[in-house]
This record gives sequence, C-alpha cells and structure tokens, in this order.
Amino acid sequence: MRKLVLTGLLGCFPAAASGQAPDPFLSETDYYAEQPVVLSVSKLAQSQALAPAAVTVIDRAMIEASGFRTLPDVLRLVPGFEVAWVRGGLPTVSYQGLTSLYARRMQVMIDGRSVYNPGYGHIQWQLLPVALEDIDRIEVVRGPNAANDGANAVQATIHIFTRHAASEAGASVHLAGGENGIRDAVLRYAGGSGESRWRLTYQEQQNDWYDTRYYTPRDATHDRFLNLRLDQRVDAHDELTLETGYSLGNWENSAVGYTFSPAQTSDLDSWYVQGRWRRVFDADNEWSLQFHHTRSRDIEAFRPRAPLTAPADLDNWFQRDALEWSANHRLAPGLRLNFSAEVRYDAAWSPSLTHTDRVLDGWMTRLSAASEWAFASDWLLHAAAMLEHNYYGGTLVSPRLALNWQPVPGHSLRLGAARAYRTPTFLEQNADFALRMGPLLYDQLLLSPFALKPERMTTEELGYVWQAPARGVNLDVRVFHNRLERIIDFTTPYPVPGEMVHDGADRTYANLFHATQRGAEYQLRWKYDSDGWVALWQSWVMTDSDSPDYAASTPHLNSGLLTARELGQGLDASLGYYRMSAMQWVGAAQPTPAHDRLDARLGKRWKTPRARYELALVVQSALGKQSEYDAARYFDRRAFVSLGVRF
Amino acid sequence: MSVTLLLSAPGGIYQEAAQALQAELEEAGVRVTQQTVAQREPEREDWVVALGVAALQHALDERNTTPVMALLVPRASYTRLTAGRTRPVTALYLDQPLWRTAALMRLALPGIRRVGAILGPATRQIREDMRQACAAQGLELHAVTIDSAAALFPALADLADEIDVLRLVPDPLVVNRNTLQSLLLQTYHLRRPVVAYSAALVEAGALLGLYATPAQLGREAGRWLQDLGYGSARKLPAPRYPNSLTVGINPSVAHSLGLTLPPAEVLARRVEEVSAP
Repeated sequence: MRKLVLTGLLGCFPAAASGQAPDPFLSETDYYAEQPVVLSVSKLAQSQALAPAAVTVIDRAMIEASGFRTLPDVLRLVPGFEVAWVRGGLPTVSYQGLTSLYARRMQVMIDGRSVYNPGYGHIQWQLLPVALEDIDRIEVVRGPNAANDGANAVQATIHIFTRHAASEAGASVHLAGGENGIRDAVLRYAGGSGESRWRLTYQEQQNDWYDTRYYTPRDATHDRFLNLRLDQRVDAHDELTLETGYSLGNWENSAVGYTFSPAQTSDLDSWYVQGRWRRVFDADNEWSLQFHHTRSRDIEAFRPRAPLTAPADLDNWFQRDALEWSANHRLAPGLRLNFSAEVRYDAAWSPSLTHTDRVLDGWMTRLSAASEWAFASDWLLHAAAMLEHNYYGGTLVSPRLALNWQPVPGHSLRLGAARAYRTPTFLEQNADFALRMGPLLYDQLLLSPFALKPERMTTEELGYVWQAPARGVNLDVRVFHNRLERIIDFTTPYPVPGEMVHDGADRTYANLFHATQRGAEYQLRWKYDSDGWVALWQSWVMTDSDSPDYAASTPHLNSGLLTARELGQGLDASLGYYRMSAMQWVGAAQPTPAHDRLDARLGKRWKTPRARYELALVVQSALGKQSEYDAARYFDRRAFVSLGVRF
Repeated sequence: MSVTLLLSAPGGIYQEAAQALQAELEEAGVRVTQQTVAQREPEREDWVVALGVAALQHALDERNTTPVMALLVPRASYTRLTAGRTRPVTALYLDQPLWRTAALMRLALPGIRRVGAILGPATRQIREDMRQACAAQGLELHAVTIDSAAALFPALADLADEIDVLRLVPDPLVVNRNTLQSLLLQTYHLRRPVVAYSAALVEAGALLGLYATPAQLGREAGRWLQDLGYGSARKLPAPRYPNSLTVGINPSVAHSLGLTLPPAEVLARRVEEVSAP
C-alpha cells in the first residue's frame, strides 16, 4: 500500500550533486521519498539463531586480528577445521577429517561462484583471486548444505562474500615483508560515484613455506592476481555486478604423492568472469540471474627418469560455465521461500592422468526449493531439497529438515537432519596414469575400471545458540552424528594386461568404505568491553570406520582461541592459539603429531589529514617449529612487518 | 466550519494525509474542500491546511488572513518559511522531536552508549539540541559537520571507530541518491546499526526508524483542528511536534547483526510514554 502511495514521489529523490553547494532546505521529500533497498536478504549475513545449520561468520575484525596472510589460514578460525600446508603451493583445508591432502567434500563459493576443481574435486586455494582486504565476511556452514548449494557441499560449505564496490572509496596499499622470503603487496583502488562503483585489486605474494633448515628442496611460491569488481545500480530495483580476475602462480617442488620427480614445478594461471543481475522488489523479495566462467591451467613440468618416456608432464586444465537463477520471496509474514535453478558445464583435460587427449566434460542441471516457516511465534521450520542431475552422479535428491525453537529471547535450539552427495571427479572416474617406455606400458599406477557411485553423507544434529548483545556474548554449540557411505578411495592391485612390472594397477578407484562420526563443538565470541573481545572454539570428534586410515583421519580435539584488545593511543594487540590433536591424513606416509601454534600481532594506527596508516608486527608459530602434514616438514617461527596506508 | 486542504501536488503522500484528515473532519460535520497548488482558488474558508512545503509557500504568498495550518512540513523549513510573514499560521511538524528518537535508541538498544551523527548545512544548527537530547538518555553524541559531499565518507570512517550506532539526520548533503547505498553498506560492513527517520530508510537497510506516516499526521491534524475550531483572527496555538509515531524495525538487518529487539509496537508504546523534557 505504502508503495502505491509513494509512487507520486518517484523522481523527486533529493540528489546532491557532488562538489556543489546543495540547497539546504528540507522538504517532505527528504522524509518520504522511495529509497532503493540496499541491504536486501542476499546481502546480509545469515542469522546464526535462525539458520537451519551451524554457521560460523568470520568478519573483518577476526581476519585482521589473526594476522594471517592467506585465505586457508583464516579458516583456522572455524571450529573443527583442519588447515595444513602440504607444500607452499598446496594448502589443504578440511572439516572433521576423513580426507587426503585433496579435500574433496567441501563446496567453496566466492560471491556465489563455485570454485572447486571438477578435475580433482579439491580447491586450488592459492589460485583464488581474492584478497583478504576485499572480503566482507566468510560464512561457513558446518555440516552438509547440499539442499542449498548442491553436490559436494558435504562436510562444509564456505561462502566468501567480497565487499560491494560502494562500501569504500579511495586507494590503499598494503605491504608486508619478513622471514622465510615473505614479500606481499596489495594495491587497491575503489572509485566511481553515485550509482556506478568499481574496485581494482592487485596482489602479489611470495614465501618459502617450509623452512629449508629442516627440509629441502625449497617449496617457494610466487602468486599474483588482478581483479576488478563493478557495481552498477540501474534504478531503484535493479543492480548489475560484474567481476573478473586473472591469477598466476609459480610453485617450486609441487610434487606430492609420487616420488619419481622431486624437481617438479607448477606454473598456473586462472581467469574468471562473473556477472549478476539482481532485482530487488523490497527487503524480502528479490531474484537474481548470474553467470560465471572459470578456466584454470596448470603446467606441471618434470623430467621422466630414463628409460621412461611418459608421463612427460602433468599439464592439465579445467573449466566451468554456469548460469543460475535464484529467487527469495516472503509469501506471508512467517513464510519465506527460496527457489533456484542452475545449469552448469564442467570440463577437464589431463592427458597424463587419463591417458587420453580427449576433453572430459559433462552437464549438470539442478533445481532447489527451500522454505522457512514460522508456524508459531517461537518456532521456525526449515524444509529444503535440491534435485540435481550430474554427469557422474545421476539424479540425486539432497533434502534437509530443521526445526528452530526460541523459548526465551536470545536462546535458540535447533534440531536438524540433512543429506548430501559428493559426485565422482573426472580423475576418479577416468584415471589411467602409467609410466611408459615409448609404446610399452611399464607400470600402471592409477586406474578407474569401475563405474563409481556418489558418496553419501547423512547428518543429524542438535544445536544451541545464545545471543546476548547487551553482554557481548554469542555462543553456538553443535552436537552431531555423521554417516559417510560409499567413500571413494584406492583399492588393492588390479590386473593390467601387458604391464611390464606385472604388479597390476597400484591404485584403482572404487566405492570402498564408510565412516561414522559423533562429536560436539562450540564457538564462543565475547566482546567483554568496547575495547576487547575473545573468540574461543573447540571440536571433539570420534570417528569409526571399516578403514583404519579413515578412523585415524580426524583429530579428536581441535581448539582455537583468538583475542584482541585496543591498548589506546592507536595501539592494538592480538593473540591466536590453535591446537590440534594427533591424526593422520588419508594417504599420508606418516601420522601428523599433535601440534599447536601461537601467533601474536601488535598494530599501531595513526592518521594524517591525507591518509590513515597501520603498522603491524606479526610473529607466527611463536612457540617454535611444528608439523601439520607430515613430521618431516616444519613450519618454524617467523616474523613479518606490514604497513597499510589508505588515502 | 469549512476547511480547505491545499496539496503541494495531487496523489502520493499528500493524498494519503488529506484523506485521513478529511475523514476525521467530515465525521465531525466539517465541510472540507481539496485543492492543489496548481488549481488554487481561495474561497470562503475558516482554515487552510497546507500540505507540504510548496503548499505552505503558496499559502503564505496569498493576500489573505485566513489562518493556515502547515502539515507535512519539517520544523526547520517551517521556521525559515514563516519568518517575517504576517498571515496567521501554525503547524503540526513532520519530524519527530530529537528527544523522542534518543529515547527510542535507549529503549531499543540498551547496550549502546555512543551515538554518531553526520550533520550538513541543513542540519548543523540542531547539534546542540541533539547533544542534550542524547545526554538526557545517558547517551554520548559524537557529531561531525560536513560542508561538502567529498567530506562525507572520510567523516564516516573517522566516526565509525568511536560510535555504537549511527543516527541518520535528513540532510540532503548526507542522505541522497548518491550516498545512501554507500552509507548503508559501509555502516553494515562495520557492523554499526543505523537509526533513521523514515520508513523507506528502514526498508532500505537501516535497523530502526522513528517517524509518523502521512495518514497518522492527517488524523492528528484533523483532531487538532476540531479542538481549535474557528481560527480566524484569534491567536493561534504555537506549532508543535506530532504525538503520533511509528517505530519501524528491519527484522532481517536485526537478525543479521545478532540483535534481538522488542517488537515495534511495544517500542512505539514505550516511546509514547516518554514525555518531553
């Protein structure tokens, strides 16, 4: 009704031309003019108390206090997350174990763009063209989220939201340098005015991840990217966003798993373009249409050992194109619906690992619906399902049901159950990796002789959220039971005709194991006064599996603490402590011992009439060396200094 | 009694207020005529209600002594427009008094202490009143005044470090089509709730708003006119703020900021109970 009444004022929106002295005369238009909905549902962080699953929100304050330089490290701030650097170019991030160094059961979306690699199923973290400075927030859904995000959102989903180009203005420079070859530069500029805004970011990072005092050869990395975001408001209802970026990586000693070529290096590049048209009718009703294209290429060079002739390299690329429509609607005061439809095309090419020059590709189509129904004042029922057809998974339905009860304001209980699938990757379904001497097959290493089924995860959970903003307290507790079935892994030797070493294929992919997990975790954030806060989290998990490797792949206890305090005079200090009990990554040669890490940061801010400055000293792993993948590689104490200038 | 409603323009908020006013008066047997500024023809009338700044300006320019009541006109503009004029005039202001918004902030967000405000040329004069209104509620005002559009976002960046909530004021230099998106995005990015002065701003992304709808103002003006009766040649009452109010809450923004607020109607009742200092 109000909308109709206000239409008479459309076009009377007071516009102050920048630079000119405006007429400082207030009229009724200043109060009653229609305004565009800026913070629509899709731009807001999820409410933990009302969400159908456990959500961790990492905001800018946490990212800055952590002193971390990279995105995978920032994910140490999430309960139950394991982060390990296998090499300088190969970080791996997983939630509650059950994984090899290629964590394949996690969906990662940057502004709604899925970035997992369909070839291997993991995330090439180092190639993601997103600077920590550009991130508005990271929302991590702990537990299956396939009802919303589709296949592969099995153990967790990470949604990274970058800042709207209009949320800042001007230039900023961030430089860092220190031990272990740390050399970082981030140059950003946010420009435009009024309804057209843009931001350009260039980042360059270098370091030697593992200390060469303990480990040779070097695993130095050098990564760069350039990225652009444009936000154009068309009218009161429509907004267009375009993002594009190009990244380059050069990694030394990138070989893992195969020891025949220790001198392997990788040169990677990746580019993407993403466009979105969002139409917002009002605060509760909107839809968007989005497309994206990503292409990543990896040139992995090494010399085969004589007399072998193949593989001559491990070059590969993958590509993803997607078109997605989604809509949020509030049908009644207590009933909200979300619909989405997507068509996605995945392609990958890896002749050395698949023994074919053919491009492997496939289409995926999906439809999803989710409802949020407040059927009584303190109850909320979530029901959602995703129907998708995947090139290897067939037709899958991933449902979720959750019930939230808020008996007392600020306290919320949640009971939920969800199912998710992980579809086989191109490599798992098409592997044919062998050492060859000209036309002769010397040794078959990898093979995919079976039609694989998707892995299936079923989770039941009980959650509790306590939010007391007046006391600065936010507590989230989750107790869960997971059952992961049809785990795809390698099985015993498989006869291969014509093989010279006659040992059969060393590794063949098959649906082999299952695992069950019981556990509990919590995260507490307490802003105890206006100058200081503490974040504390822990996760306990018990894993049973018919495979001893999987049973041992989850740390029993994973803990973290991050605290920050303003000391006055522009000084601020923070401490981060992260501890993980012993575990063994699936497929790793040795167990990873229990380890802990203490990071400290001291910052000083000041400003002049022209610029704002921030100088910081960060010491990582201050307690000394520790191993997070295998015991032979140490991440030792290192310090660096950073300087940020905004003007 | 006969009342002419003089609308700045047909339709829109003017019509909404006029309808409510007319219904209120006609129930009491008052004869009501509607005119717009474009078709204004003075006739035998006991009151002219000028709806909006343009209508007030028009009425003040007439050579006429029928008393005028201004409606949908902000206090600052009323004061400027009527200065030195001889026609008898009073007003039911459009804006809510500063002390009432301060009371709402205290009631809705008990944890806050520091209130930020960015003032411009149209609002710089309210700074001291605003400070007192906040102080009366135990709140500290951190206000900056800007005189150019370029100064807005640097001022916001400086202010953000030292405030718990941003109180928007209707200054065309501060809140306009070029700035609104960035204002709401930047404050949300810094997790600072915004308190606004209109329903549209609450819908756009402010956490909380205090305002009166055109219909509320129309009804209140109708009741007031009935109490005043024939106004000609008598000393008119002083212009005043409305008693009617609406509290608007953006539930999505509240949830997203992890804030649990009392329902809007409950807050509105509590604010109504607060009396002027």
